[in-house]
Amino acid sequence: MGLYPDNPPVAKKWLSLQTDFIQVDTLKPTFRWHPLAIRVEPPKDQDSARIDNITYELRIWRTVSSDEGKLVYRRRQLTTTEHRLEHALEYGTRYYWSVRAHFDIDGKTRTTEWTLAGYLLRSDSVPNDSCLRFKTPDRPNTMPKF
Amino acid sequence: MRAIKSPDIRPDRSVCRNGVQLSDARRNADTICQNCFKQAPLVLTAWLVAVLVMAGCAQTPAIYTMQPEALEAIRSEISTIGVYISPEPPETEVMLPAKGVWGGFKRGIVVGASLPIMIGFASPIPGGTFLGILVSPFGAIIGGIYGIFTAVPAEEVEHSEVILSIAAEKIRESKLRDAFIRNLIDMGNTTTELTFVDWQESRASSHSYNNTHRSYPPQASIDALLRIQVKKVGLLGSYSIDPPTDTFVQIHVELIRLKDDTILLDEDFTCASGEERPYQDWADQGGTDVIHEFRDCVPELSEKIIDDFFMVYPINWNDDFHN
Repeated sequence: MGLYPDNPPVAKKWLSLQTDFIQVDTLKPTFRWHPLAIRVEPPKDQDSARIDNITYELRIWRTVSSDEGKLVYRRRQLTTTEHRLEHALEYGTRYYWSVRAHFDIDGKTRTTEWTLAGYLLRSDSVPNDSCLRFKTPDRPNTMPKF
Repeated sequence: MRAIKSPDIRPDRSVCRNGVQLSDARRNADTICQNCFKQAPLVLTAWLVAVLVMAGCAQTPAIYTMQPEALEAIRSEISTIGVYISPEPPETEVMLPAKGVWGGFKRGIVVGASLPIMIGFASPIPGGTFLGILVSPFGAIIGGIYGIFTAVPAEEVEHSEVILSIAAEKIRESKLRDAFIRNLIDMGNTTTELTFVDWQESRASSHSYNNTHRSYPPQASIDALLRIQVKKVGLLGSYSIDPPTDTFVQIHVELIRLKDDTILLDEDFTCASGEERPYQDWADQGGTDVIHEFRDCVPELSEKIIDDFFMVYPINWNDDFHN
Protein backbone atom coordinates (compact mmCIF):
# COMPACT_ATOMS: atom_id res chain seq x y z
CA MET A 1 0.00 0.00 0.00
CA GLY A 2 1.43 3.35 -0.96
CA LEU A 3 4.52 3.91 -3.06
CA TYR A 4 5.98 0.58 -4.12
CA PRO A 5 9.32 -0.13 -2.40
CA ASP A 6 12.22 -1.46 -4.49
CA ASN A 7 15.06 -1.53 -2.01
CA PRO A 8 15.32 -2.92 0.57
CA PRO A 9 12.85 -5.37 -0.95
CA VAL A 10 9.76 -6.68 0.79
CA ALA A 11 9.58 -10.36 1.74
CA LYS A 12 7.08 -12.25 3.82
CA LYS A 13 6.99 -15.78 5.18
CA TRP A 14 3.95 -17.86 4.34
CA LEU A 15 2.43 -18.00 7.83
CA SER A 16 3.53 -14.59 8.98
CA LEU A 17 1.18 -11.65 8.97
CA GLN A 18 3.98 -9.12 8.79
CA THR A 19 6.98 -8.80 6.52
CA ASP A 20 10.51 -9.96 7.31
CA PHE A 21 13.35 -7.77 8.46
CA ILE A 22 15.52 -7.75 5.34
CA GLN A 23 19.23 -7.83 6.03
CA VAL A 24 21.07 -4.94 4.36
CA ASP A 25 24.82 -5.11 3.82
CA THR A 26 25.79 -1.64 4.96
CA LEU A 27 24.99 0.84 7.70
CA LYS A 28 24.21 3.41 5.02
CA PRO A 29 21.79 1.54 2.80
CA THR A 30 20.23 3.03 -0.29
CA PHE A 31 16.46 3.23 -0.35
CA ARG A 32 14.54 3.09 -3.61
CA TRP A 33 10.86 3.22 -4.44
CA HIS A 34 8.64 3.63 -7.46
CA PRO A 35 7.64 7.14 -8.44
CA LEU A 36 4.18 8.46 -7.77
CA ALA A 37 2.08 7.68 -10.82
CA ILE A 38 -1.60 8.39 -10.45
CA ARG A 39 -4.43 9.33 -12.72
CA VAL A 40 -6.86 11.85 -11.31
CA GLU A 41 -10.17 12.98 -12.68
CA PRO A 42 -9.99 16.63 -13.74
CA PRO A 43 -12.45 19.13 -12.30
CA LYS A 44 -15.55 19.58 -14.45
CA ASP A 45 -14.43 22.97 -15.72
CA GLN A 46 -10.91 21.83 -16.67
CA ASP A 47 -9.47 19.48 -19.24
CA SER A 48 -6.93 17.95 -16.89
CA ALA A 49 -6.01 17.91 -13.23
CA ARG A 50 -2.58 19.31 -12.52
CA ILE A 51 -0.15 17.45 -10.30
CA ASP A 52 3.00 19.44 -9.59
CA ASN A 53 5.91 19.59 -7.22
CA ILE A 54 6.13 15.92 -6.40
CA THR A 55 8.63 15.33 -3.61
CA TYR A 56 9.21 12.37 -1.34
CA GLU A 57 9.62 11.97 2.38
CA LEU A 58 11.58 9.10 3.89
CA ARG A 59 11.54 8.09 7.54
CA ILE A 60 13.38 5.40 9.45
CA TRP A 61 12.54 4.31 12.95
CA ARG A 62 14.39 2.04 15.33
CA THR A 63 12.05 -0.74 16.38
CA VAL A 64 13.01 -0.66 20.03
CA SER A 65 12.15 2.57 21.77
CA SER A 66 14.56 4.37 24.01
CA ASP A 67 14.98 7.78 25.56
CA GLU A 68 16.47 8.97 22.28
CA GLY A 69 13.19 8.37 20.51
CA LYS A 70 12.14 6.03 17.76
CA LEU A 71 12.59 8.26 14.72
CA VAL A 72 16.24 8.08 13.73
CA TYR A 73 16.23 9.46 10.20
CA ARG A 74 13.97 11.78 8.25
CA ARG A 75 14.41 13.47 4.91
CA ARG A 76 11.80 15.59 3.17
CA GLN A 77 11.78 17.32 -0.19
CA LEU A 78 13.55 14.43 -1.90
CA THR A 79 13.13 14.97 -5.61
CA THR A 80 14.32 11.54 -6.72
CA THR A 81 13.05 8.09 -5.87
CA GLU A 82 16.33 6.99 -4.34
CA HIS A 83 18.21 8.03 -1.26
CA ARG A 84 21.41 6.83 0.36
CA LEU A 85 21.57 7.51 4.06
CA GLU A 86 23.82 10.39 4.97
CA HIS A 87 24.76 9.02 8.35
CA ALA A 88 25.31 5.49 9.52
CA LEU A 89 22.78 3.45 11.42
CA GLU A 90 23.67 1.16 14.30
CA TYR A 91 25.06 -2.33 13.87
CA GLY A 92 22.77 -5.30 14.38
CA THR A 93 19.59 -3.29 14.77
CA ARG A 94 16.11 -3.77 13.38
CA TYR A 95 14.45 -0.78 11.75
CA TYR A 96 11.16 0.23 10.21
CA TRP A 97 11.09 2.49 7.19
CA SER A 98 8.45 4.10 5.05
CA VAL A 99 8.09 6.66 2.32
CA ARG A 100 5.34 8.91 1.04
CA ALA A 101 4.89 11.52 -1.65
CA HIS A 102 3.96 15.15 -1.23
CA PHE A 103 2.47 16.91 -4.23
CA ASP A 104 0.31 19.80 -5.32
CA ILE A 105 -2.93 19.00 -7.03
CA ASP A 106 -4.87 21.90 -8.49
CA GLY A 107 -3.02 24.24 -6.18
CA LYS A 108 -3.56 22.28 -2.96
CA THR A 109 -0.75 20.47 -1.16
CA ARG A 110 -1.57 16.83 -0.56
CA THR A 111 0.25 13.65 0.43
CA THR A 112 -0.06 9.96 -0.18
CA GLU A 113 -0.48 7.62 2.75
CA TRP A 114 2.65 6.00 4.14
CA THR A 115 3.87 2.89 2.37
CA LEU A 116 2.85 -0.21 4.34
CA ALA A 117 3.16 -3.93 3.68
CA GLY A 118 2.00 -7.23 5.16
CA TYR A 119 -1.13 -7.02 7.24
CA LEU A 120 -2.09 -3.38 6.80
CA LEU A 121 -2.58 -1.34 9.95
CA ARG A 122 -3.90 1.69 8.11
CA SER A 123 -5.74 3.00 11.18
CA ASP A 124 -2.58 3.01 13.30
CA SER A 125 -0.24 5.93 13.53
CA VAL A 126 3.24 5.43 12.10
CA PRO A 127 5.52 3.82 12.95
CA ASN A 128 3.57 0.60 13.25
CA ASP A 129 4.12 -3.09 12.54
CA SER A 130 3.05 -2.69 8.91
CA CYS A 131 5.95 -0.39 8.09
CA LEU A 132 8.65 -1.77 5.80
CA ARG A 133 11.42 -3.60 7.63
CA PHE A 134 15.15 -4.09 7.45
CA LYS A 135 18.02 -4.92 9.75
CA THR A 136 21.61 -3.79 9.72
CA PRO A 137 24.60 -6.17 9.71
CA ASP A 138 26.09 -7.30 12.99
CA ARG A 139 29.25 -5.61 14.18
CA PRO A 140 32.22 -7.36 12.54
CA ASN A 141 34.47 -9.35 14.81
CA THR A 142 37.58 -7.21 15.26
CA MET A 143 39.52 -9.70 17.37
CA PRO A 144 42.91 -10.39 15.77
CA LYS A 145 43.45 -13.89 14.44
CA PHE A 146 46.44 -15.83 15.74
CA MET B 1 -23.04 12.50 6.65
CA ARG B 2 -25.05 12.29 9.81
CA ALA B 3 -26.72 15.07 11.70
CA ILE B 4 -26.09 15.43 15.42
CA LYS B 5 -27.50 17.74 18.05
CA SER B 6 -24.52 19.29 19.74
CA PRO B 7 -20.83 18.61 19.36
CA ASP B 8 -20.07 19.14 23.02
CA ILE B 9 -22.74 17.14 24.76
CA ARG B 10 -23.41 14.55 22.15
CA PRO B 11 -23.36 11.10 23.70
CA ASP B 12 -20.66 8.78 22.54
CA ARG B 13 -21.62 6.39 19.83
CA SER B 14 -20.57 2.89 20.48
CA VAL B 15 -20.54 1.72 16.91
CA CYS B 16 -18.72 -1.46 16.08
CA ARG B 17 -15.22 -0.29 15.42
CA ASN B 18 -12.56 -2.77 14.64
CA GLY B 19 -9.46 -0.92 15.70
CA VAL B 20 -8.99 -2.58 19.04
CA GLN B 21 -10.01 -6.01 17.84
CA LEU B 22 -7.65 -5.59 14.97
CA SER B 23 -4.82 -4.61 17.24
CA ASP B 24 -5.57 -7.49 19.56
CA ALA B 25 -5.39 -9.82 16.66
CA ARG B 26 -2.17 -8.34 15.39
CA ARG B 27 -0.59 -8.67 18.77
CA ASN B 28 -1.79 -12.22 19.01
CA ALA B 29 -0.22 -12.91 15.69
CA ASP B 30 3.07 -11.28 16.53
CA THR B 31 3.38 -13.40 19.62
CA ILE B 32 3.99 -16.31 17.28
CA CYS B 33 7.45 -15.20 16.32
CA GLN B 34 8.69 -14.47 19.82
CA ASN B 35 7.52 -17.49 21.74
CA CYS B 36 7.23 -20.23 19.21
CA PHE B 37 9.70 -22.50 20.93
CA LYS B 38 8.35 -21.96 24.41
CA GLN B 39 4.62 -21.98 23.82
CA ALA B 40 4.00 -23.75 20.55
CA PRO B 41 0.43 -24.90 21.32
CA LEU B 42 -0.59 -21.54 22.67
CA VAL B 43 0.98 -19.87 19.70
CA LEU B 44 -1.06 -21.98 17.33
CA THR B 45 -4.22 -20.99 19.17
CA ALA B 46 -3.24 -17.35 19.01
CA TRP B 47 -2.55 -17.62 15.31
CA LEU B 48 -5.88 -19.25 14.60
CA VAL B 49 -7.70 -16.65 16.65
CA ALA B 50 -5.78 -13.90 14.92
CA VAL B 51 -6.63 -15.15 11.46
CA LEU B 52 -10.30 -15.62 12.30
CA VAL B 53 -10.61 -12.24 13.97
CA MET B 54 -8.73 -10.46 11.23
CA ALA B 55 -10.86 -12.04 8.56
CA GLY B 56 -13.86 -10.36 10.10
CA CYS B 57 -12.26 -7.20 11.33
CA ALA B 58 -10.06 -5.83 8.57
CA GLN B 59 -10.49 -2.10 8.64
CA THR B 60 -9.44 0.69 6.36
CA PRO B 61 -10.15 4.26 7.30
CA ALA B 62 -13.07 5.50 5.21
CA ILE B 63 -11.00 8.47 4.13
CA TYR B 64 -8.69 6.19 2.12
CA THR B 65 -11.53 4.72 0.12
CA MET B 66 -13.52 7.89 -0.50
CA GLN B 67 -13.72 9.43 -3.91
CA PRO B 68 -11.09 12.18 -3.97
CA GLU B 69 -13.61 14.70 -5.27
CA ALA B 70 -15.98 13.97 -2.37
CA LEU B 71 -13.22 14.27 0.21
CA GLU B 72 -11.85 17.46 -1.33
CA ALA B 73 -15.37 18.92 -1.41
CA ILE B 74 -15.63 18.38 2.34
CA ARG B 75 -12.19 19.87 2.94
CA SER B 76 -12.97 22.89 0.80
CA GLU B 77 -15.87 23.82 3.07
CA ILE B 78 -13.71 24.56 6.07
CA SER B 79 -11.04 27.08 6.90
CA THR B 80 -10.94 27.50 10.68
CA ILE B 81 -11.10 24.49 12.94
CA GLY B 82 -11.60 24.33 16.67
CA VAL B 83 -9.77 21.49 18.39
CA TYR B 84 -11.45 19.85 21.33
CA ILE B 85 -10.47 16.76 23.30
CA SER B 86 -13.11 15.29 25.52
CA PRO B 87 -12.02 15.27 29.17
CA GLU B 88 -13.81 11.98 29.82
CA PRO B 89 -11.35 9.41 31.17
CA PRO B 90 -10.71 6.57 28.75
CA GLU B 91 -11.56 2.97 29.39
CA THR B 92 -8.56 0.94 30.56
CA GLU B 93 -7.78 -2.53 29.29
CA VAL B 94 -4.81 -4.49 30.59
CA MET B 95 -3.91 -8.08 29.80
CA LEU B 96 -2.42 -9.32 33.05
CA PRO B 97 -0.36 -12.48 33.32
CA ALA B 98 -1.90 -15.41 35.15
CA LYS B 99 -1.29 -14.83 38.86
CA GLY B 100 0.50 -17.60 40.68
CA VAL B 101 0.01 -21.36 40.53
CA TRP B 102 -3.77 -21.24 40.80
CA GLY B 103 -4.08 -18.48 38.19
CA GLY B 104 -1.74 -20.35 35.85
CA PHE B 105 -3.70 -23.55 36.33
CA LYS B 106 -7.01 -21.88 35.51
CA ARG B 107 -5.72 -20.04 32.47
CA GLY B 108 -3.89 -23.15 31.29
CA ILE B 109 -7.14 -25.11 31.43
CA VAL B 110 -8.98 -22.50 29.35
CA VAL B 111 -6.26 -22.28 26.73
CA GLY B 112 -5.63 -26.02 26.69
CA ALA B 113 -9.32 -26.83 26.34
CA SER B 114 -9.93 -24.33 23.57
CA LEU B 115 -6.87 -25.26 21.54
CA PRO B 116 -8.12 -28.59 20.08
CA ILE B 117 -11.52 -27.08 19.34
CA MET B 118 -9.93 -24.20 17.48
CA ILE B 119 -7.68 -26.54 15.53
CA GLY B 120 -10.63 -28.80 14.72
CA PHE B 121 -12.74 -25.85 13.64
CA ALA B 122 -10.02 -24.49 11.37
CA SER B 123 -8.96 -27.84 9.91
CA PRO B 124 -10.45 -29.14 6.65
CA ILE B 125 -11.17 -32.56 8.25
CA PRO B 126 -14.90 -33.36 8.27
CA GLY B 127 -16.14 -33.34 11.87
CA GLY B 128 -12.96 -31.57 12.97
CA THR B 129 -14.77 -29.47 15.53
CA PHE B 130 -16.40 -32.55 17.05
CA LEU B 131 -13.03 -34.30 17.25
CA GLY B 132 -11.62 -31.18 18.88
CA ILE B 133 -14.37 -31.27 21.52
CA LEU B 134 -13.51 -34.91 22.27
CA VAL B 135 -9.83 -34.11 22.71
CA SER B 136 -10.54 -30.91 24.61
CA PRO B 137 -10.57 -32.41 28.16
CA PHE B 138 -7.06 -33.84 27.63
CA GLY B 139 -5.92 -30.45 26.36
CA ALA B 140 -7.36 -28.85 29.48
CA ILE B 141 -5.36 -31.17 31.75
CA ILE B 142 -2.12 -30.61 29.85
CA GLY B 143 -2.78 -26.85 29.74
CA GLY B 144 -3.49 -26.75 33.47
CA ILE B 145 -0.24 -28.54 34.30
CA TYR B 146 1.65 -26.29 31.91
CA GLY B 147 0.07 -23.25 33.59
CA ILE B 148 1.11 -24.41 37.06
CA PHE B 149 4.76 -24.59 36.08
CA THR B 150 4.98 -21.45 33.96
CA ALA B 151 2.80 -18.94 35.83
CA VAL B 152 4.33 -15.78 37.25
CA PRO B 153 4.30 -15.59 41.08
CA ALA B 154 1.25 -13.65 42.26
CA GLU B 155 3.36 -11.27 44.38
CA GLU B 156 5.43 -10.33 41.36
CA VAL B 157 2.34 -9.51 39.29
CA GLU B 158 0.77 -7.53 42.15
CA HIS B 159 3.98 -5.59 42.68
CA SER B 160 4.02 -4.67 38.98
CA GLU B 161 0.36 -3.65 39.20
CA VAL B 162 1.15 -1.20 41.99
CA ILE B 163 4.07 0.32 40.08
CA LEU B 164 2.07 0.66 36.89
CA SER B 165 -0.87 2.26 38.70
CA ILE B 166 1.56 4.87 40.03
CA ALA B 167 2.87 5.36 36.49
CA ALA B 168 -0.72 5.78 35.25
CA GLU B 169 -1.26 8.48 37.87
CA LYS B 170 1.88 10.27 36.69
CA ILE B 171 0.53 10.19 33.13
CA ARG B 172 -2.75 11.72 34.31
CA GLU B 173 -0.89 14.43 36.22
CA SER B 174 1.32 15.26 33.27
CA LYS B 175 -1.62 16.91 31.45
CA LEU B 176 -1.17 14.96 28.25
CA ARG B 177 -4.57 16.22 27.10
CA ASP B 178 -3.33 19.81 27.00
CA ALA B 179 -0.14 18.72 25.27
CA PHE B 180 -2.19 16.81 22.71
CA ILE B 181 -4.33 19.88 21.92
CA ARG B 182 -1.25 22.12 21.60
CA ASN B 183 0.52 19.58 19.43
CA LEU B 184 -2.47 19.16 17.13
CA ILE B 185 -2.91 22.91 16.71
CA ASP B 186 0.79 23.45 15.99
CA MET B 187 0.93 20.57 13.54
CA GLY B 188 -2.27 21.63 11.78
CA ASN B 189 -1.16 25.24 11.43
CA THR B 190 2.29 24.20 10.23
CA THR B 191 1.41 21.55 7.70
CA THR B 192 -1.93 22.70 6.29
CA GLU B 193 -3.30 25.93 4.89
CA LEU B 194 -6.10 25.84 7.46
CA THR B 195 -6.28 27.60 10.82
CA PHE B 196 -6.47 25.47 13.94
CA VAL B 197 -7.45 26.95 17.30
CA ASP B 198 -8.21 25.71 20.78
CA TRP B 199 -11.99 25.34 20.91
CA GLN B 200 -12.27 26.04 24.61
CA GLU B 201 -9.91 29.01 24.50
CA SER B 202 -11.86 30.54 21.64
CA ARG B 203 -15.09 30.02 23.52
CA ALA B 204 -13.63 31.75 26.55
CA SER B 205 -12.50 34.64 24.37
CA SER B 206 -15.98 34.95 22.84
CA HIS B 207 -17.63 35.09 26.25
CA SER B 208 -15.18 37.42 27.96
CA TYR B 209 -15.36 41.21 27.73
CA ASN B 210 -11.91 41.53 29.25
CA ASN B 211 -10.51 39.43 26.50
CA THR B 212 -7.26 37.81 27.50
CA HIS B 213 -7.32 35.47 24.53
CA ARG B 214 -6.92 37.98 21.75
CA SER B 215 -4.97 35.58 19.60
CA TYR B 216 -8.04 33.42 19.20
CA PRO B 217 -10.78 34.22 16.74
CA PRO B 218 -14.32 34.43 18.08
CA GLN B 219 -16.07 31.12 18.10
CA ALA B 220 -18.50 32.33 15.44
CA SER B 221 -15.69 32.34 12.87
CA ILE B 222 -14.87 28.69 13.48
CA ASP B 223 -16.58 26.61 10.86
CA ALA B 224 -15.66 23.12 11.98
CA LEU B 225 -14.90 21.30 15.19
CA LEU B 226 -12.31 18.56 15.44
CA ARG B 227 -13.59 16.52 18.37
CA ILE B 228 -11.37 13.83 19.80
CA GLN B 229 -12.14 11.29 22.43
CA VAL B 230 -9.53 9.01 23.92
CA LYS B 231 -11.55 5.82 24.05
CA LYS B 232 -9.23 3.19 25.40
CA VAL B 233 -5.72 2.87 26.77
CA GLY B 234 -3.78 0.01 28.24
CA LEU B 235 -1.60 -3.01 27.63
CA LEU B 236 -2.74 -5.61 25.16
CA GLY B 237 -1.51 -9.07 24.40
CA SER B 238 -2.72 -12.54 23.59
CA TYR B 239 -4.56 -14.66 26.16
CA SER B 240 -1.76 -16.86 27.46
CA ILE B 241 -0.01 -17.59 30.76
CA ASP B 242 2.45 -14.68 30.65
CA PRO B 243 1.65 -12.77 27.47
CA PRO B 244 3.95 -10.18 25.96
CA THR B 245 2.01 -6.95 25.80
CA ASP B 246 2.36 -3.58 24.17
CA THR B 247 0.90 -0.25 25.11
CA PHE B 248 -1.92 1.20 23.06
CA VAL B 249 -4.08 4.31 22.87
CA GLN B 250 -7.25 4.27 20.82
CA ILE B 251 -9.01 7.49 19.88
CA HIS B 252 -12.16 8.45 18.02
CA VAL B 253 -12.01 11.60 15.91
CA GLU B 254 -14.86 13.53 14.33
CA LEU B 255 -14.84 16.56 12.08
CA ILE B 256 -18.10 18.39 12.66
CA ARG B 257 -19.51 21.18 10.51
CA LEU B 258 -20.80 23.69 13.03
CA LYS B 259 -23.44 25.45 10.98
CA ASP B 260 -25.65 22.37 11.01
CA ASP B 261 -23.84 20.06 13.47
CA THR B 262 -23.12 17.48 10.80
CA ILE B 263 -20.32 14.98 11.13
CA LEU B 264 -18.31 15.35 7.96
CA LEU B 265 -15.68 12.72 8.73
CA ASP B 266 -15.07 10.33 11.59
CA GLU B 267 -12.42 7.70 12.20
CA ASP B 268 -10.87 5.53 14.91
CA PHE B 269 -7.10 5.67 15.19
CA THR B 270 -4.69 3.65 17.30
CA CYS B 271 -1.18 4.27 18.51
CA ALA B 272 0.68 1.19 19.71
CA SER B 273 4.14 0.85 21.17
CA GLY B 274 5.20 -1.73 18.61
CA GLU B 275 7.42 -3.32 21.21
CA GLU B 276 6.03 -6.23 23.13
CA ARG B 277 7.25 -6.93 26.63
CA PRO B 278 6.07 -9.08 29.51
CA TYR B 279 3.84 -7.19 31.92
CA GLN B 280 6.50 -7.16 34.65
CA ASP B 281 9.04 -5.59 32.29
CA TRP B 282 6.79 -2.58 31.73
CA ALA B 283 6.95 -1.98 35.48
CA ASP B 284 10.76 -1.79 35.51
CA GLN B 285 12.30 1.53 36.53
CA GLY B 286 9.02 2.76 37.95
CA GLY B 287 7.13 2.26 34.71
CA THR B 288 9.03 5.04 32.93
CA ASP B 289 8.89 3.22 29.61
CA VAL B 290 5.09 3.09 29.79
CA ILE B 291 5.03 6.83 30.43
CA HIS B 292 7.38 7.41 27.46
CA GLU B 293 5.25 5.25 25.19
CA PHE B 294 2.09 7.20 25.97
CA ARG B 295 3.91 10.51 25.54
CA ASP B 296 5.27 9.34 22.19
CA CYS B 297 1.70 8.73 21.06
CA VAL B 298 0.82 12.44 21.31
CA PRO B 299 2.81 13.61 18.24
CA GLU B 300 2.17 10.36 16.38
CA LEU B 301 -1.60 10.59 16.75
CA SER B 302 -1.57 14.34 16.04
CA GLU B 303 0.17 13.70 12.76
CA LYS B 304 -2.18 10.84 11.91
CA ILE B 305 -5.22 13.06 12.46
CA ILE B 306 -3.87 16.00 10.48
CA ASP B 307 -2.64 13.79 7.65
CA ASP B 308 -5.71 11.65 7.24
CA PHE B 309 -8.36 14.32 7.76
CA PHE B 310 -6.73 17.16 5.87
CA MET B 311 -3.76 16.05 3.74
CA VAL B 312 -3.98 12.52 2.40
CA TYR B 313 -5.25 12.26 -1.15
CA PRO B 314 -7.05 8.93 -1.50
CA ILE B 315 -5.46 6.82 -4.20
CA ASN B 316 -6.53 3.42 -5.45
CA TRP B 317 -3.17 1.69 -5.27
CA ASN B 318 -4.45 -1.35 -7.12
CA ASP B 319 -5.16 0.51 -10.30
CA ASP B 320 -3.20 0.06 -13.53
CA PHE B 321 -1.04 3.05 -12.88
CA HIS B 322 0.53 1.64 -9.77
CA ASN B 323 3.35 -0.80 -10.31
